[in-house]
Amino acid sequence: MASNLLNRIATFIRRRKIVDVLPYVMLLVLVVAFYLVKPIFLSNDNILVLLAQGMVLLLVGTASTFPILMGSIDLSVAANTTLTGIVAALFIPNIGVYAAVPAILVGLGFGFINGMVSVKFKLPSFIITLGTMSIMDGTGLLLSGGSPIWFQNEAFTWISKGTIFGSLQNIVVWSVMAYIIFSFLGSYTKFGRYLVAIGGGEKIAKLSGINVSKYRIIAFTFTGLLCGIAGVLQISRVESASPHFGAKLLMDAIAAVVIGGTPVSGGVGGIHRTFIGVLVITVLSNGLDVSLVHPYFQLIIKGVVVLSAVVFTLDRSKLALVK
Amino acid sequence: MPDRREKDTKASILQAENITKSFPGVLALDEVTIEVKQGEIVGIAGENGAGKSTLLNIIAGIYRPDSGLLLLRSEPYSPHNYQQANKNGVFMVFQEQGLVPSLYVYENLFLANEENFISNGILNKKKMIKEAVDAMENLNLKIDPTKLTWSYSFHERQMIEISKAFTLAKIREIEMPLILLDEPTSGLSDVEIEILFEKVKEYSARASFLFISHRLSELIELCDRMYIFKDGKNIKSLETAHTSESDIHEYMVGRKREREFYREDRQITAVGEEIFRVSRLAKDGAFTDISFGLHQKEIVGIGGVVGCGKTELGLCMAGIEKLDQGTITVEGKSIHKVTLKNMMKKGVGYVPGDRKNEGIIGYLPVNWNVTLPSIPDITVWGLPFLNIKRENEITQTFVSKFKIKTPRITTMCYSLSGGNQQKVLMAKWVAKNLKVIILDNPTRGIDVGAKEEIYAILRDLVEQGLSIVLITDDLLELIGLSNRIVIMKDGVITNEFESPPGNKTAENELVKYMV
Amino acid sequence: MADIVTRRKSLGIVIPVSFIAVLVLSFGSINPRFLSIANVYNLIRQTSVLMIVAIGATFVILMGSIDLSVGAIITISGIVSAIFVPKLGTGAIVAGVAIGGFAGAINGLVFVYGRVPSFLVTLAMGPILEGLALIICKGSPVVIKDMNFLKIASGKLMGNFPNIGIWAILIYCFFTFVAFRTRYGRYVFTIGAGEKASQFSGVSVRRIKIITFFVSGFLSGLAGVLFSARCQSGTARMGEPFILDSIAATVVGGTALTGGSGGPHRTILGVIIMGILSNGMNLLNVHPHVQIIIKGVVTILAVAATLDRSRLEFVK
Repeated sequence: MASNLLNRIATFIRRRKIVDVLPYVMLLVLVVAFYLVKPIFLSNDNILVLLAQGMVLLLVGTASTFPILMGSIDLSVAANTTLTGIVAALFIPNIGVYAAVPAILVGLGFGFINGMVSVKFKLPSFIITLGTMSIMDGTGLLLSGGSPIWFQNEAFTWISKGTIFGSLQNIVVWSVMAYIIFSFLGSYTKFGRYLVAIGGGEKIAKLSGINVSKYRIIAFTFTGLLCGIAGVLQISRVESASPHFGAKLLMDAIAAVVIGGTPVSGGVGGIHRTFIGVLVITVLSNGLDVSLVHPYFQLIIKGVVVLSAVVFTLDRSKLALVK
Repeated sequence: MPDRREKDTKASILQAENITKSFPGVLALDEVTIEVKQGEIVGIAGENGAGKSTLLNIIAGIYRPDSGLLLLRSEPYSPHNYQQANKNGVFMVFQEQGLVPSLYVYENLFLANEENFISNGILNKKKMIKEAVDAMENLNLKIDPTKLTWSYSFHERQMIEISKAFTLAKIREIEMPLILLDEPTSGLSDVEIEILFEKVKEYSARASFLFISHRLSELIELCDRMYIFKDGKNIKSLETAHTSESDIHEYMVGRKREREFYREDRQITAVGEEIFRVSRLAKDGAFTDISFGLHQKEIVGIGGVVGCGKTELGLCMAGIEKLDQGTITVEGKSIHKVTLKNMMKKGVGYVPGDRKNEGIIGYLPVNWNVTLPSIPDITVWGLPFLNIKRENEITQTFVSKFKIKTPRITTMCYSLSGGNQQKVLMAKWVAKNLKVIILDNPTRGIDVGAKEEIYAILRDLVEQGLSIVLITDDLLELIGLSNRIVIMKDGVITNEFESPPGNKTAENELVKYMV
Repeated sequence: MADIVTRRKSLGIVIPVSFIAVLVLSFGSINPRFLSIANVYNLIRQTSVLMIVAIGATFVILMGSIDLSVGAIITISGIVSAIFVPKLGTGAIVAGVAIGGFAGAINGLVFVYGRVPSFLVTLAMGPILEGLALIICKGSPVVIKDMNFLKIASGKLMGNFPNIGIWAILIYCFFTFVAFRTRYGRYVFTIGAGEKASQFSGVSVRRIKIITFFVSGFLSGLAGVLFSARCQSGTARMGEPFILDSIAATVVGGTALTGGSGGPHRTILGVIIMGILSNGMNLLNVHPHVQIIIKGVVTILAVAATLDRSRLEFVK
């Protein structure tokens, strides 16, 4: 039957090294295709733009990887990023560049709330984060009055657009640093390993003595933290905070994680993998922009991409009953 | 086999004294006392439900005994969870594997025990891998710890679990761990079983083993000593060197079978025409060449140890699982496509053995459960509306007929006792006016009184014209209820018996063909 | 009708009803205008669209799944029907409903045959449908001028009772009947309460699942048509608030996320509560954005209160 075939394909992809190679193949295909359509795609200018565009997604994608590794999901990552941007923008007139601090704390706080509610109330993560997503959206709209907040603060703008190293924008520096740190955490600490264990076999993890609740809270808190950082970097880059910023971010983030090699069923893959997924999605977005594909159409393409990526990588044996 | 008699003087590693454990409705262990000495391989034999797994789970800290004493190396031992058991050098190789498939082997080996390999919060992977490689070498295993766990076969992963026991024991500086093996051989090929046994014997110089199996030949071959459990009691301790399988059979079974309990007097001897026949049924990996017939008003019993394929056979005959080969004939007409819907249409129903998950729906009321398979039949003027009045009538009929104890017909099923739930489950299928019902372990987990009532119900049904295929682990039930008995072992039929009332086969005769 | 499925320990009809009473009394005492007939009709107008979407959501949740694409379906059917109004007049209803049903069917097919969890399928379908909607309307609202079409929502066939309310009540009655008196409805309950056992009892689980998502899409489509009639235009993202609201209304009304208990007859209570909350908060001049926050909190609390944790082995 169709579902059996899909399952076999998914298992094949997951288990062979295809899952390692696939994103690189996709990347190559996309780059070549877009270059052929519009050669300026590979111009220096565009590449720099592409990099800057991708950094926020790098952070949010990395953030999204923690819960997905565990077999959960955080639907509030985009709302979190948006809200922290708005919070920062509101503090800038008063404390300038230090506005980043309360903003990031807000992001971290909501992440912590997601984790705590998950553990204390034992609710499925998708409904909790659906709720907090709404709460954060509403808060963002409230604080911003529904329209973008513009600001002019050299110090704050420097956070993203300054250049510590040659002509490389700072946003790239911070994002890549954060990514490297968390990748390292993922691969070389108990935290990273336990996330995979919980996602890959929660029963066994518990039996072995892993404190699942503790790691669940830590994971969601880290997610919030990275989203907070992403929010700050984003508004610094465009010098304004918009409550509607995060519309496509959620889809992009999930797609990046899955394409990178961490399936939604969790237990496999890793934080380091999200990088290539982010690259693929960023190239896709940027390429579509450069090729003058309508943004509305891009939404559709993104949805289809996410769906396909999930369909072909989901570990259905982990889902006894698909609900 | 090397002479192990010197081990008699070895220290005791585990002593379990008068362990009692009960679960709702079932007394799993009744004052059980066993002992394992250092370096021994001790086996536990017994039927399903005899209490073997429960004891192992208690020793591993997963369950806590209601009463009794555990001594580990002569010190009191009462683990509150599995990690505490680990800390004391007790490890279990789980039937459903205690490894996370998506981790690397070395990651699994040290899961939750990485303290020795952490400095400043960072895992020293090189050190872990080296330890793992050393461990594998030490144990003569050709397993590469840097590969992913799922890339190894079931049997190899078992070896990894065993090596996990040794590596963790070494970390905790425990010389001789106690390793519990819970039915390790179900799921292994003969060759793999050989390898497992070789390894266990090899390792018995540095560990003690407690090994559960229902395959007696294995126990005799591998173990120094064995215990026989029956109905939650430890009834015999044997030195395997001087024991034969048939000796063990006698101990394992031989209960007093009361004729009245199974209403044997009501067994119908004058059965009707053949109503159901299966020919050369086969399913890859489960069973082959299964053929038998069922006559009207007959009860044919299918018996065999867990894993012999009878459960899968039941699912295939019901149309729930796919058959690879063979034909099924109902009332002379062969069934084209064996699917659940078709079989139901032709009058064949299936009562699953897993009452809670596959049988009744606890979160729905009794009447909704009883009428579920019959909904297409009780319509209002042929339209897909529900005939609530009829539903309630039907439910009421069965509540009286089967004496189902429930406050109302709209009570939720989860609040009923196991026995009454089973009655609801049976009512569900009887309400459908079928010709043949396939039952899988219809009296599993219910108390004696309810069992009796169910047997009476079965006799009633058969008298009224129903034919039954009875798949069961309960030997006495198998013998007491059936007109004919089919025994399966490793996927094939090993023997058939006539079982007329008054001349029933003895248990150990049957067991011979099961193990 | 025997309220069998709600005889569970924590769920009782008492809780939502008394909550409604409390809300009515509180808001009423703060602002007497709250209790006027005009306001009641207002309330009906404000909640009818949600009522219809929530019924669809109820069926999906009863089955143990979730539909996060209802917002996008409302949007696209609202826009599509607005576009067809000049050509088809009131017949444009069909266009909107058809799109909704079609989208729902696709959800169902991918869910069943792709075996992708429902929250993911519908999460991804959302942007796909929104994108399509944006393309169709070219980014700007599609204004509706046809009076006949607008009257399906704002007209008054019966005295002063708003038409849109009639739709809501008819849908409510019809689907409550479907839930408790038809084979399909019964199967939805049994699949939500015990999918494996239902399967073993001969229920065509796959078929029922696809139908349910079709129903949810269909009803969201209808809701979109009525909503655009009420707003006199079809706009991008008009359906967005309904995603969370429909889930909240369903759960608050007494249908647990775990499925198998509750029913559309309870959803009206949830809709009324959500409606009173909004209406009352509006009268108190509570900021609309704060209302969004409050709704998010209410949803989480409602789910926490009604979820049957014994049925979730591992909450992920």
